[in-house]
Amino acid sequence: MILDCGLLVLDSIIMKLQNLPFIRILRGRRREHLVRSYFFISVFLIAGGLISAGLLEIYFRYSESLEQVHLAQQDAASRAAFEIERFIQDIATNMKAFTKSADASFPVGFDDYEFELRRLLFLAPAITEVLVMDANGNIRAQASRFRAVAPLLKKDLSQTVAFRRSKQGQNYFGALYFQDSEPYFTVAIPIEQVPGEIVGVLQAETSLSDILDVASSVRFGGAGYKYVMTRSGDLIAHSNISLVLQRRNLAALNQVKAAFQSSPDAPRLRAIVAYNTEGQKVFSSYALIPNLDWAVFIERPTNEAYAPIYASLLRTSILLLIGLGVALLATLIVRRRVVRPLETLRQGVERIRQGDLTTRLELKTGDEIEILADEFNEMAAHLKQAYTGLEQKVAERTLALTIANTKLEEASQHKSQFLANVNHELRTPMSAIIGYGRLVLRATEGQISQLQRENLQDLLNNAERLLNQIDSLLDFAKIEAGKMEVRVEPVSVTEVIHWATSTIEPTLNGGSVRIIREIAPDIPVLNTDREKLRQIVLNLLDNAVKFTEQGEIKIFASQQNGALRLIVSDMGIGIEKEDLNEIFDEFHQGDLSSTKKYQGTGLGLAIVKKFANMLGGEVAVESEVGKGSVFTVMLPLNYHESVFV
Amino acid sequence: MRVILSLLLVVTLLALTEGFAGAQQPANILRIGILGDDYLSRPVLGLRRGLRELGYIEGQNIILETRRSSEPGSGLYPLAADLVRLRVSVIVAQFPGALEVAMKATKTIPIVMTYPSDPVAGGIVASLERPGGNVTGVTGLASGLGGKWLELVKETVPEVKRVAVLWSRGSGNEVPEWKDVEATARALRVELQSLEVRDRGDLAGAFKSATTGRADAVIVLPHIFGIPREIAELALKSRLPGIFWRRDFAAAGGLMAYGANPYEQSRRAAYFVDKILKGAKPAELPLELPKNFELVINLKSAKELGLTIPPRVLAWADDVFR
Repeated sequence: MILDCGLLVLDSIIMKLQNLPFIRILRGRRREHLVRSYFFISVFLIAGGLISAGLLEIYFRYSESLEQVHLAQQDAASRAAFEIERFIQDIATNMKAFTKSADASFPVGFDDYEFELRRLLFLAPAITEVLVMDANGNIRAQASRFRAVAPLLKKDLSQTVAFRRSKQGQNYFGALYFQDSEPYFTVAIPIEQVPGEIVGVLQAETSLSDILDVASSVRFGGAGYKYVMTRSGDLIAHSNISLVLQRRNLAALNQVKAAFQSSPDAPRLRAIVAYNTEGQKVFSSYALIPNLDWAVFIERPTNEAYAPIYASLLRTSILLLIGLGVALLATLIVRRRVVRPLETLRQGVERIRQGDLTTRLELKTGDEIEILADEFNEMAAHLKQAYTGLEQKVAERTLALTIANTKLEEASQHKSQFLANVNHELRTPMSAIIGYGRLVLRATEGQISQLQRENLQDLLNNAERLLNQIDSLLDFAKIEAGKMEVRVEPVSVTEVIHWATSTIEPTLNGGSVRIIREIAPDIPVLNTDREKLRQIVLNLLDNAVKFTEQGEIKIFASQQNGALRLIVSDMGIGIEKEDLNEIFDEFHQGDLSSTKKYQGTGLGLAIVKKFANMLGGEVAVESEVGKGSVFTVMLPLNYHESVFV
Repeated sequence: MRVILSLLLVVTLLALTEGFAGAQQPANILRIGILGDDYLSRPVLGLRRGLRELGYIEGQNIILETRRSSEPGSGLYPLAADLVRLRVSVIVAQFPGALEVAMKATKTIPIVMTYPSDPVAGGIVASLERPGGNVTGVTGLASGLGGKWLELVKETVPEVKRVAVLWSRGSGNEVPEWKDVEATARALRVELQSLEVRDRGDLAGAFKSATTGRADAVIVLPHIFGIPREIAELALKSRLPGIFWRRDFAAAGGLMAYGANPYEQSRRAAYFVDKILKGAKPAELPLELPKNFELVINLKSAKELGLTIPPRVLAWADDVFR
């Protein structure tokens, strides 16, 4: 569940990232989704881990470093203060030891005290001048490193604070003063022959310029420094000696104020962040030397204290960068190992789709993809084989079909030629027979018997019938040969129907069959081929007459939806249902058994259909065996070239 | 693929070198000029040690251009000019004559001095806290040392009544040590014979004057022209116990010398050189006083002069030539 949520979040992040402009550039081609996904997942997993680890590392290091800086610096300040205090105390102790002597007259006599004072200068290098006073405050002996100590320089120092304080039995540590720009202070101690009996005072002028050297072991950081100062803010010593020599007063610094305002017994504060004399931000720690009313400060620039944190940040950043590089590398390797072969595979499929069945893949990845590529190659080989066989078969069949077509075409041509020839050869003598028949009938008017006359008339009728059939054959041959043309002219439907019925009426079977005409009066004059319309109506009527023994043959013409509707119905034998679809085929007659009874070529209805189609119309038939048939022809009122089918 | 890999490599290398770049120092070798006389070996050793303590190593980040002449004054001018021409970063002047010559040779190149004197009274710097010019360094005591010399003479030869003082004017017109000697002489009831030495040629005459003036001893103040050996020999020849400001005089045959330790002075001068190389202005670098003094006694000369050095004086001697 959590994993799902995580993946969802990751997906949404990836989606958002993908919408960034620069990522869009990175996206490149549509087909490289896999590379991108791998890249983002790798980067997110590796960089995410590195970043979170790095941030945690930085956070903890920062806290620890800060704590360390505070503690170590505070400790350093305390140690430095301790060393300095001990140094001063050592001077006093040396001086005190110096006053002790086994000689009972010493120092009361002061006879050779000067030599002893020089010894003290050797013992305590910080002391530059030393003098001894008697109980009245008069200088009795003196020694100096630099100056001549003339015997006549004796002075009365009984009124000085140093003398009076020491006379009371106390060690005296004087105020800071400067001589030749260097810091000094006065130390005075009482000389007691026996405890409580003060016979004089030993006073030393002590240089403080090297006081920091005693705390030189206390070091803090490369740029760290320390300084000692009095409550008044006067510098006694500083790592940068120039500040002391320039008599800088640092009372205004916040850390100095804080130090001297605090009580010596107050708990040690942590180092504070303040500004030093140069305006630099520093960590500042202090320790007080209560006996002297001095304070020792140790300061360190904050940027140096932060340096390890920055270094850690840099290290983490470098690691992060390397991590990102590795992620990128991993993506590239994945691309090389997985996506590229997939792309090759895809291109192979694409080539096969385009029909190049010779395509084979050369993938040697040594893994499942190679197996897939081998399978692909095998499949392509099979496909190629199957395709080649199929092509061969198609070629064979096509050749056979072409030969058959050619033969059929030839046969058709022969048939057309034959029909044309037959027509020509039959029609001419038939026309001559009919012509001469009529001539004989007219010429023998009244000369031959009625029976002869009827026979002659039968001969003529059959001859004409034969001629009609020959004409039909000729027409059909023309249609088949594509030589039938449409001649458009104004045509009166009424006139055509009248012509057809009058033509057909003589062939009616006595009075048992009659033709009924119904012509709607609103039918306009048609623009169509007159002869073909006549042929349609005549053939339909002829067909009706042929199969109607008795009853009515109706011809009905009307206008419907801008077309001519022509219906011819009979009460004949009807057509079998299974024959309905074939009655318009050429040389077909509904009932083979009745072929002989109902004579004809079987071309009448075929011609009706062909002509109706030629004039842009169609013909349909409904029939019921024993009840009759209804033929319906629909023709456009105005023939258009375009409607020719 | 190759291009991407190369880019990756370059980026990684850049990141790594960036990380370590901070550890590298620019390879900039600085020249430090040293101007002095024949007695330069101790000061140069001290300077070298001081510089080494501050992270300077000869040949690696500094070059010491040492120029010495046994002819103080005229012999030093071309050497100082040479250092200026070399565009050294700092000139360390090892004794008063060298400082004067260096100050005349340049007003821009920082000069670090190492000899004991009073540079404020001598007009070399404006004040100890803020020198103001191009000179800073370790100075002598502002006052007192002259008196100390007289005191030492009196202590060594208690019967001394009259002391000849040889002095020259330095860059300023004042001779600060003279005042100390004078004040102490009054306290010690010693008569002084003032002998000014204007140039090297005056030396023999001055010692002759001291002899004819019945001086019992001689104090040779700094700024005196001439080389230690010549002066020490003149003093011996004149049979005058002499006290000098620099150990080299005692080494050359002078009876005794009391002054700042030249080795330690030069070692401390390295601190000033370091500050200046790091960008501090000499005008704002306060002068420092010497921390180490030494008493050097030549027993051979004492014997030659027929003197016995009192044990209380000999006891404090830092160095003795036998």
